[in-house]
Amino acid sequence: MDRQFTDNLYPVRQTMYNESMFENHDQQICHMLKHSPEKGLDMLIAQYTGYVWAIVSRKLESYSRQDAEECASDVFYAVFQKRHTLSESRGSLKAFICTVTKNKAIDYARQLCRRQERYIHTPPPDRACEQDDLVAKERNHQLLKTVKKLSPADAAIIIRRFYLGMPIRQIAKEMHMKANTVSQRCVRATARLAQLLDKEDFRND
Amino acid sequence: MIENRLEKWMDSFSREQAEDLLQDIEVNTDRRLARKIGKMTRKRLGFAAQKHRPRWLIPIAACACAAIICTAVPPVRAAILDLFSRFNAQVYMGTPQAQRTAIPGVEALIQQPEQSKTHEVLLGEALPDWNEISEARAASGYSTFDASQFKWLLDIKPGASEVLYDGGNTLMVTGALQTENPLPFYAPYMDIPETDQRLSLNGATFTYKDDSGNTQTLHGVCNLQIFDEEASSLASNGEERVANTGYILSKGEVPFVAEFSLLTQTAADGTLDTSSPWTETTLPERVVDASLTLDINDSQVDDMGSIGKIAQVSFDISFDASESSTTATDVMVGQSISLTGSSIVTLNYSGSYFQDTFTCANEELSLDGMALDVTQVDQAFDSLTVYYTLHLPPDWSDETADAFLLNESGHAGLFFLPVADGAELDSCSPWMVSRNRRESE
Repeated sequence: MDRQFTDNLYPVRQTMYNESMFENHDQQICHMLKHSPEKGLDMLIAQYTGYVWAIVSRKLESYSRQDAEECASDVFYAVFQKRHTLSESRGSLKAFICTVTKNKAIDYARQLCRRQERYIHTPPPDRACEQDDLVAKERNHQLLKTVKKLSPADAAIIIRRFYLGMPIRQIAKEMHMKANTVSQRCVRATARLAQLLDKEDFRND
Repeated sequence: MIENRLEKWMDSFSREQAEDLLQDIEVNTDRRLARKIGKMTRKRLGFAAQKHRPRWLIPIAACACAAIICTAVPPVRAAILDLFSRFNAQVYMGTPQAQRTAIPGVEALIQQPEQSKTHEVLLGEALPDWNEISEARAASGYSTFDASQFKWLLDIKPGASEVLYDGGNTLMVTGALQTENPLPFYAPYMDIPETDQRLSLNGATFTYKDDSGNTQTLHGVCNLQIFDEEASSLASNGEERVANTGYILSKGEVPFVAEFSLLTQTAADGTLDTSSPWTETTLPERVVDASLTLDINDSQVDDMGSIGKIAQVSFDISFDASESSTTATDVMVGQSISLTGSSIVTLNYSGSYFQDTFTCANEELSLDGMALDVTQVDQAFDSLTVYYTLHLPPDWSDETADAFLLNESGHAGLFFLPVADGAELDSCSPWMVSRNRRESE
């Protein structure tokens, strides 16, 4: 959490809600969103723009930065509108926001593609993805379990690269590594993951 | 190549799986980007621009504001604390009428709309945008929609019970969807093992004809009316809501609150277009015949974006929009507050915060000749807005004046603290200072 940023946002009345009232920052954000919505929104944005932007900028990389910014804003708008139903006890805000962001970004890409379809050939949907729920759930479960078998640093690189869609340079910055190192580790970790998935008879169709 | 597939597989991770995956991952926020996205979001929500408080001006602004607010509405503090600071329109309308503590000023604005006897429920492929939705589902790795599992949605009967329109930017419609199977709608919000399905009310559209006969569409959100204490109550941890499934089933309805902002980004064809300019509108001051459409999402796919949309319910309502209007009061019009002496003032000289370079400086300036003229005070059911004209000292250069006034709204200039009976309201309760218009001469 960038404390400096948050403090800058509400220097005057921050003490209204003592941080010790909350077990974690998500709980504080949920509380503020319900009871002091504007401040809650600011805290939400300060805390989660990094995640939202990583996903949005990857999914909308073929479109303008303005489109990506609007999509990111749309995510926070949607979460804000649902603030009364947010509950930290139902799972972390981080997972919720990332899931919402993925869906919004895919939806945006679809809309933007539709706008430009006169110029861009839209490939038909990948029929291989049309699996039934159970198979997809099982596949995801297996994938998740296997990612966790990697070393913590390799797993972190894989998650940042393929779930959040972060570029190598940003991963390097976040993990205090050289870009080359991250790039190499990413290749190796992906190969290792493929090997582990193979061993476990992973269904990759 | 596994790289290509990994991203696609991970895109279809559920919230629970994402939870597990992201446990130890922290991503830093780019401060400038957050400010920009924050600004866009605040604008869309109708909030005032983020205030970047020039601390040297606090004493001046506090004095000015104390004078404005306290004189504007004399027995202010009790009234403000009783209404504005504790009032939240979403919570108020999200609580069944029988359970909420009535606030006369708000109740006076609420109408019982008339409703058409007919309605329409569209399911799956009957939806006008179904091709895109089903393609997006497939592209995101979700299973093909099975209409047979959701056929029961076609038996839903919608009804509107209340409309709250303040004559300004707020429009809310409450009502209920009658159904023998209401539990799936509560499932996204609380643990309900009695149902396998999880449905959410998501988007809402409000379509009406303006005075020129053109169709106008407002895009809004819809939520379960979650504050019904009989349908669910807060668990001992104070966070989780626990469903009273017996009550929900016996009631046989899904109460909803649809909320619309009249600050819209609408394309010429009435669809939501985020690249369109923001336009502020009001409903015509007459009986408005409108069509209300509520989207139903499969929460197991997506309870917010339209990827999860599986059905929509439409029905017509009408109500008298002329009965609601923002109350304008001229109590303070014409009053001028002069500032004198000198103060250190924060100035933003060039560019904007979001550009790569800008110059920010604290300079001691004479404030002689600076004056605030209050031009209008609007009192709505949930807000008090003070409009003012700011006269700058005549000896300030254009450059200083430009640097003092907003170059990125909210980053410089004056800001206000609401003070009533000698106490800052912010210290008593959450409070929003609304700055809707900024003028200078």
